[in-house]
Amino acid sequence: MREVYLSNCEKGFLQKVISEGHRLDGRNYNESRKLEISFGSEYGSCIVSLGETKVLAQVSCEVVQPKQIRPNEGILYINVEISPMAAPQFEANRQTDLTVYLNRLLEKCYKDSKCIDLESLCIVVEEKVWSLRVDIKVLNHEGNLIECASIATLASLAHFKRPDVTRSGDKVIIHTLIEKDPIPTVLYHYPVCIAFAIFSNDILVSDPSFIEESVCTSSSEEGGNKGGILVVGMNQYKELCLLDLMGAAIYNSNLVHKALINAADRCKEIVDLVKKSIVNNDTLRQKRVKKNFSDIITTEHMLSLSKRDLSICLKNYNVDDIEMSQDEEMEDDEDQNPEPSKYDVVPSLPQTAEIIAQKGASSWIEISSGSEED
Amino acid sequence: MKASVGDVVLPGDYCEEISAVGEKAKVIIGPGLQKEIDHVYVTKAGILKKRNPNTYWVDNYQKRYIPARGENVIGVVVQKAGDIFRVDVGSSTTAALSYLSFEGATKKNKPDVQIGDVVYAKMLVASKDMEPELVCVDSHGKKGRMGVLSDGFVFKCSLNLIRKILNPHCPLLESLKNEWPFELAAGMNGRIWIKANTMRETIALGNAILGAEYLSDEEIKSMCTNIATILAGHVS
Repeated sequence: MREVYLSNCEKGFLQKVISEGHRLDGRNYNESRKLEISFGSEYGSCIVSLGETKVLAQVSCEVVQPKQIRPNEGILYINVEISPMAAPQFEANRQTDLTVYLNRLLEKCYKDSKCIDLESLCIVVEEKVWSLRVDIKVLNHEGNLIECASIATLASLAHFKRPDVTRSGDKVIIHTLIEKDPIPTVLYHYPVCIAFAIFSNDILVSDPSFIEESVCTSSSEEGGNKGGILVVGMNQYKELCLLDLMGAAIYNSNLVHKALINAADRCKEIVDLVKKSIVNNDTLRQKRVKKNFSDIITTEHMLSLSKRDLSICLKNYNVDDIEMSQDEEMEDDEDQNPEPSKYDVVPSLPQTAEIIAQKGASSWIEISSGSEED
Repeated sequence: MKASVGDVVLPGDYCEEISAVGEKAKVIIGPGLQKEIDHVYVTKAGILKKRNPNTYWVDNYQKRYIPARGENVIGVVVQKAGDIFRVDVGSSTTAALSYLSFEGATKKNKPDVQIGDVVYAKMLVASKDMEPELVCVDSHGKKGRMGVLSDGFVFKCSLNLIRKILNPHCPLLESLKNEWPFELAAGMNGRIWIKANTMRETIALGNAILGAEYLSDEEIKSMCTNIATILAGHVS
């Protein structure tokens, strides 16, 4: 993996923006980007997008021999893949620290929290069990991969249905989806990983974007690193499943407490959304409505799958405002154009256009206008 | 499939018009076109464009930068290696920037460039087999507007947006300059450096630039006034 280089400009500016109580994309500290979950035509496939971060998850199952130490339990396997499609710094088919980190966190969150009833995946003790495999593919990396990937894992596991099985003597028959209705996975609880970026050890920023993640984990100019990423795994009952800190140690005890309170609310929202979208999807399936990923392709925009939000945005900026005010504004604009401007564009070199403050009055501007200072 | 100027083209399409003109006169084919034995083939998806006399290219949406000679780019210094700086310009490899290619730099008088600094430089060598090379001086040894950019903020955008805002007919900078003072440097590699008096103004500037990508000229003008009113605090 190639390194991502961050300039001092970006670091300095972002630290300043955050310390003044704003964020680059106009969100509040505890505001998350827009979460969307859409399901594919098969059981257990979904695309989750969190702002511009997009993750595809697919659950598949096969019959395998169980592990020796757990002869009556099924197997859950999670595999995370990041391709160059996600961001140019990644290489194809190569494990990076990030994939290992994501894999580990997701396994902790979904395997070790025992949210899945693995015993129900057993077919014949010591001989045949179902092995569920969750494949996570990162489609676009725009920060907060862990939250997006965990929602995708949860949604796809909850959506997944495995074929029904009947045993007659030694024979095991796996029924196709047409013969018998498939069986949904049993989930005891719904854990979700929520990520927070910590800046200068007292500011907590939820759902960090890519630049916020890289700034808070990189060391500051004075040498010391005072930020980090805190991942909180929690289920809808506000039970903690996972806590992971990357970066500097936290010496502010309120910070973790605050993060947990925020995470609890957010988890509730996410789990409700996951459940609601699965129920919606199921009712549509029963009505035999075709649902697949083509539904998320919109035709209203040039780039059908991406870029609805700007990465740099003022708090009150709204794209829709432009169309509304267009008619009145246009007449004003035409009046304004011939006016001499305070700042003038000087094309200094080919391919550049720079704006410099005009010093002193130009000859064709009346001196009485008085706006030429500076 | 056969394609003509102004069409939306896909890789594999060919243009007979170019070959026909090429037999009579000299033709320049730009990015996205490739000459094979029989035809001129399209290698990128976009719109086939022509500029008189006989220059053809494909205007496509792209984010990844391919170095081209003479373009002004913005890069981040990532390494100091002996007498050169390695600069990340977003291409497949880093570009080299000699410390002697700054204004007034000599072996004794080295320029003050640190790792992580943002430089505005011109592409001097851009060959597909060699490391690209940058300079921060023009042919007269003057720095012009090139060199290290301090403060401000750098962000990435698509290459099309850069071309759009640098187009002399684009009303974006014309409208913005009436609203508040700022400095701006646009690199052809899809990076823009901006600096304004306050943090809010800098963010507003970035917002205006990124928001202009898919807007028409009239919409850009109204967006600029819209942003200015938000900035002034008239809209709560």
